[in-house]
Amino acid sequence: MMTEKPMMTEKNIKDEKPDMTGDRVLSVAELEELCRLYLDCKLSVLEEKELEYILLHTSMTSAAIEDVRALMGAQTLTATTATTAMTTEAAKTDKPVKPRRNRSAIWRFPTGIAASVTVLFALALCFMAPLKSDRHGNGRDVYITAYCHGEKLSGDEAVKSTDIAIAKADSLMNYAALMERDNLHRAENIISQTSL
Amino acid sequence: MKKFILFIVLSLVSLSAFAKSPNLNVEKMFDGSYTSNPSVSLNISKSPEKYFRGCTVTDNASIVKKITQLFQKDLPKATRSQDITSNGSRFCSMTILNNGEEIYVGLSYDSNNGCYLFISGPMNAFK
Repeated sequence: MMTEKPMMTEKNIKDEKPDMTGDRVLSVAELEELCRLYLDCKLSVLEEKELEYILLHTSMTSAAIEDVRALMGAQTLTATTATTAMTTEAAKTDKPVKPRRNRSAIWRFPTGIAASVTVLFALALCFMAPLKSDRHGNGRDVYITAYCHGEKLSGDEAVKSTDIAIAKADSLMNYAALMERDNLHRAENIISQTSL
Repeated sequence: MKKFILFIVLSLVSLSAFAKSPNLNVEKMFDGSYTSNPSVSLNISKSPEKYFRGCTVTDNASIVKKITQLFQKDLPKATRSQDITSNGSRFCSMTILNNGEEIYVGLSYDSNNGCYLFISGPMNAFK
């Protein structure tokens, strides 16, 4: 009868993966190696489950381990002990490292809103900005296009021609306003004379 | 997140539906079909505050007639209009309200089969 072997032992020898049995405690380096394999999608579904279990119950921490932990959505049960944990790199230098908080969940919503607003703002700018070729060159945000007897005018000629056209329109509007006022006065005079 | 994006998109759509362009018939004179016509001179000036378009026709009775027809078609939309004839010259104008802003359309006739049409108003009136 076959004894129940840990699922990954034989395979690990072949694939040179770290041992994931529960018989002995994995080192940080081994755990990191497993995490790397996990990120490279080289673990089977079962092995991934085992890794998730290990990450859930271990106090070991490092950048790679925390990344995988965040990716799995696994919350470490030993969060308090993790504050004093040391990374593999930190172990070399004997410097304590602050545990990485899973910020993705916290920042996801505001970041999403900010990204959406930025995209919408950029789209609005794209749609509202006129073509550069039409831009008036004197620093004002005025865009002028002019055609004179079938030919397109450019630069100062277009500006001059358009200024004349606007001035003509303004004078016509003023003339119309004056005429309207005159007519109103006349009408009022007639009404006042007839009422007397 | 999806709900938020959907809300923003719907808000923009409803805003764009609320702000409608005036769709004036006289605007057809500025759709590009008269840019190469030797009888027509066009001037377009667009700034954040004001949108102005002017069309001068010289010695072309058929275009003058067409502009007159387009102007007449837009008259029912006007909140105010004028038709002034003085010293042999004629000037017609109308004011159209759109998006809460006034658009002024003027048409002045010359004695030599010519005319001058202009459309002027704040930018918001044309959005």
